[in-house]
Amino acid sequence: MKNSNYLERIRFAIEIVNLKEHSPDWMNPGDPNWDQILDPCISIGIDSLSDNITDELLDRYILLPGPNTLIFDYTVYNIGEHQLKIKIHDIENDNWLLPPIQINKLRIQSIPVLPNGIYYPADSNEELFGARLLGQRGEWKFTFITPVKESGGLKLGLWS
Amino acid sequence: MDYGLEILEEFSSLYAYDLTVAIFGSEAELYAEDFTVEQSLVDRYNLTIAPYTEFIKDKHILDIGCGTGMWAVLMLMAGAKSVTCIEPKRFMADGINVFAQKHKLNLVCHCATHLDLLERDEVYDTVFVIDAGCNLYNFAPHYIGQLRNLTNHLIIVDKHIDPVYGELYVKRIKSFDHRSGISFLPWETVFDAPQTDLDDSDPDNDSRQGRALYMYMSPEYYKHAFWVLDYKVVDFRENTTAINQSALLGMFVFVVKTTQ
Repeated sequence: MKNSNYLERIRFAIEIVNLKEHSPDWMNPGDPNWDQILDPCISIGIDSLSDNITDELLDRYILLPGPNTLIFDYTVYNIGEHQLKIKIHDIENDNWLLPPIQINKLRIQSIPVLPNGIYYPADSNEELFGARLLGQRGEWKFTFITPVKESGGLKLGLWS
Repeated sequence: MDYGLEILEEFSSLYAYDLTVAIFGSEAELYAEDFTVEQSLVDRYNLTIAPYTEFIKDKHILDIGCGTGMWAVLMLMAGAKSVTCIEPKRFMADGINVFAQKHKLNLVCHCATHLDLLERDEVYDTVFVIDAGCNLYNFAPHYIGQLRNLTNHLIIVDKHIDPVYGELYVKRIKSFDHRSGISFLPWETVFDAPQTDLDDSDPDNDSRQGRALYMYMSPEYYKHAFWVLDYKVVDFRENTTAINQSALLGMFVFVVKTTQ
């Protein structure tokens, strides 16, 4: 795979936490019939900001209660700023006061990075820096610079 | 002068993938598959290993702050009898040991710090500190003096140099092992290097916020206590094409004989 025409191949691991609470029935808080599993449509994509290239994949994910790790690979062809973007398209019983999905961890090539992205709510022009809770229809973006193997912050590689 | 290219290509084909995956896990497979020997790595090999083969070949080596163990493996490939590594990050130490067992290499890594060395009884022919001196801010003369019982030769090679003064750049940051959740604070131990811009009496001083310190590791300072065999600072800034901050700017090399 060496000496190919791509700049680098990157493996992302995103830990998404399903925060949906147990049964709201105060008389029966441990109701096993209450479904805590979420199955939202999530689009995960990469934007190359320098070349205006967008690559996005929409899929339905099963999110068990607690942390869930989504792993995907992306091939980068050019140097410069890129954005990882995540958008939840539909969740039943979504509530903007208590968003049920949170981005907990982000790893690039297995290296943990601080997931300090920006959340863009769908129904306003706000930019929420450092937000990790994903509401419905809004978009979360994380900026990184390629090649990430040369990134001082990531400490990636055998000799960094 | 691509003296090290051949041996690095051999390392790349034999060990790079297994070493990367042993340490970083399957999430680093793509990086491991795409590992390539770049010119900057060859340059570093020519400054780190190639000039000091007389201190490596048929010797027992200690590598303080080995990181991923790449240099330790390269020392074995250069003829070292054995290499013992010290690395405080647990996942790295464990990964190196798994890798060494798989390839049946005479390489062992202890999860410890350089301060733990003084309590050990082992003796080594040569001690290497490669790209770790920046974290060992208490790597001062009297600590090196204590290493006399441990070794005859100490070789410090580091890329964290101050480009203005050409001296070892000492980071003052909190080190944190994300995998184990253990944080270790190097500045909690006694700071005994020469200080110029540090006021430790004030915990809110901005030097606590990561301001750079410069450890004056120069022959002039150390010649009273040690036999300085080699000292050089190499500037790569004109040659580098990398865009990010980790671009190789220069190299600092300091070789001392600790006993007469």
